[in-house]
Amino acid sequence: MANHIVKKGEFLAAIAKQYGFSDWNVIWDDPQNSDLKKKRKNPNVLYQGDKLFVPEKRKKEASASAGQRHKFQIKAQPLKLRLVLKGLDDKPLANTPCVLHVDGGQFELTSDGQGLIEQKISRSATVADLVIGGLDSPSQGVVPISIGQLDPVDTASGQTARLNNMGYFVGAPDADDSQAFRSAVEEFQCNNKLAVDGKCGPKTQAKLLELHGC
Amino acid sequence: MADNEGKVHQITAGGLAASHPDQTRPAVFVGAATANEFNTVRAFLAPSACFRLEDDTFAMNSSFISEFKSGPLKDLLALQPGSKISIFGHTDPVGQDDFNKVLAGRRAQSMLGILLRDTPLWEDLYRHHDNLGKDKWGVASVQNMLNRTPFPTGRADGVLDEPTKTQLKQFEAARGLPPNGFDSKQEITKSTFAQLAKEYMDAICIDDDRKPFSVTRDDFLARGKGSDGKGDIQGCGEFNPILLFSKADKAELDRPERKAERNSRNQPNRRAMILLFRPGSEIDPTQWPCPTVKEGVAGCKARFFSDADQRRKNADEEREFVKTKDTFACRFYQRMLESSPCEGLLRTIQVRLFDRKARPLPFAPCLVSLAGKPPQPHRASGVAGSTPAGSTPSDDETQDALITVRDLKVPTTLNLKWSRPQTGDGPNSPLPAPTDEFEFELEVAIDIPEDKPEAASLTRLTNMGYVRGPTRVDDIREFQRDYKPRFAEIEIDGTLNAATQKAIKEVHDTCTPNVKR
Repeated sequence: MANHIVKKGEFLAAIAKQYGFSDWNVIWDDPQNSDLKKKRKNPNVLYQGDKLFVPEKRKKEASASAGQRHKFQIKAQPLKLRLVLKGLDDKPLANTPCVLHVDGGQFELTSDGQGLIEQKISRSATVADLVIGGLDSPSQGVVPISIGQLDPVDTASGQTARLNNMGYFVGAPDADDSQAFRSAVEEFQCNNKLAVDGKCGPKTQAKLLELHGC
Repeated sequence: MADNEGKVHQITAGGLAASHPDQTRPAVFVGAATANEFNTVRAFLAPSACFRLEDDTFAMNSSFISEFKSGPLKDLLALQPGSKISIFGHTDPVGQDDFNKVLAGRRAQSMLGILLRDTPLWEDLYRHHDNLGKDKWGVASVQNMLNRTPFPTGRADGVLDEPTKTQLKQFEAARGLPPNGFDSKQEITKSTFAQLAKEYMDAICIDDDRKPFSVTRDDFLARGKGSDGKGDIQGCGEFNPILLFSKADKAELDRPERKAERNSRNQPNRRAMILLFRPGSEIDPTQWPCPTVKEGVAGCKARFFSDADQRRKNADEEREFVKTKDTFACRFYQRMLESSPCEGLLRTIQVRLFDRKARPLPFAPCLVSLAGKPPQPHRASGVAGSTPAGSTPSDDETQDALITVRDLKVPTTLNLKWSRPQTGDGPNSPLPAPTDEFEFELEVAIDIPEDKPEAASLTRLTNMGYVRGPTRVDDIREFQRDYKPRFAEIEIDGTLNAATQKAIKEVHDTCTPNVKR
């Protein structure tokens, strides 16, 4: 067992793998993590400095008759990359062919009617890139993706990342431009009928979470 | 490809064309999903290039277009074929918000009309004035248009005189149109307007080879699908100036006797911006934040920064957008133009041309080279038809003979080659070629540092042609001899005494040399 301090870019599924757990729920459901669970809600969007308790790996006792074959299935949780693609007009890019590069492989996917593409990924995947339509498509050709770098929505970096993703271009995540951030928040608030005050308070955060998807 | 600063391509008499810095998307940060979570990735709106048209595109306080050299726009579109455009009109901060939005919108509509060769869009402006009745196209617009056909009226003063009526009748006859002339409202008929406007548009909306240039609805960001051009054209009114006077300057310039100067100082704000977007870009007009050109300002104000009032106020210091980045009220516009080279202030440099006898040279062919830029051909300005027939243009000492050059900064010098004009040269004479031979050449000093007065005086003397020496003392003496009649205090002693320096500065800076008899 261990007290794991979350580093930037880490998320539960990957941390679980690190400690040899195939089922991350065992960690997440541990009573010592109940505060964190209440706070973060999404185990795959954690924040650097979060304290995660990693319990002992329990050996599952199962009785088996000798001489017979028994199947033991490891309850592995499939991890996915799920993206909803939208165009300039905020409409889903439905039925659009894309190419996703992740885990050293190339996957040809087509978005569904809601613009969703999904692909199973390994728990050690950290980067990917997506080519939407052809390279000269107006949807900005190649989209570089960082898996696990998304911070919770109640943090400034998490808000910046979601605003960037949704086309309210704030700038590079490490560029500290408070005017650009404020302007993006105001635009988002204006477009979504929230009070326009440039501050990303609880209502704005809730809307960001809802529209971004996580 | 644009580098990360953006790149100015061309600055011409009519406008400024540039590429925006590359807007590559930074990495999209996502959360991995085990259930129904997802991450929305949406394209963002970032212009790839811009073409800004200056105030002299339009007649004063009007949406009628006087000039539309669209070569730079054609070139920008050729850089990324399939780019989509949207037009933003701006006015200066003088007057009411509402009127200014209307005028800016009418100008944007006027540009849409000419680019599409859509004469009904122009007819709408011709027959319907703005809410204050200031932007009246009227008889003057018909005269201006006729002046580009084989049936010119000469003066375009808005007075419906006999020559104007006659020329219109000739035009209608020649084009097989019903001979309706002007009606009781002093307006022409629909069919005549359509034909006249079309010919005028083809005459002034031309590329660098002087061929008519036009685009289609499909080249616009909203593809013409919005009502009243929503998404393709919008009027920002006075909400996004690039220059705001200091409080003190504004108080001074608001006085009635300073009106002309205020108009002149405000000129950079009166512009129209054509933004180009990546090939294939399309927006949904119902989602577009800008109100249409027919709607009021409420939609604009919804997009203001929350500190817009502060931004719009004149501060203690003068503010320029490129320096302070805080002169725009509209965040939507700011987000697109934030790093654009197109919102810099253009400095205007004027050089007046004279021959050795200090006679002005209107219509003189010249070649101007600014450091690091290709040479630009020009013809000095002048007023045609005001010199007696048979004399060469340089016999008229009242002619302007000005070359106007614009750049984002004031150059230290510019290289000028020029020749005397020929008899018969006029405003429509062709421009010289960079490979032509010219009679005179001079490295004209533009930015003259005043911290060394004697050096400044000598530089001015050089600009004025006092370079034949053999020494500079002789140059000074020659100037003193020429100008003692005008400045009695000058001592003819070959030195830069106070009276001489004063005279040199005045003659040079006001471009008023004495003609040598």
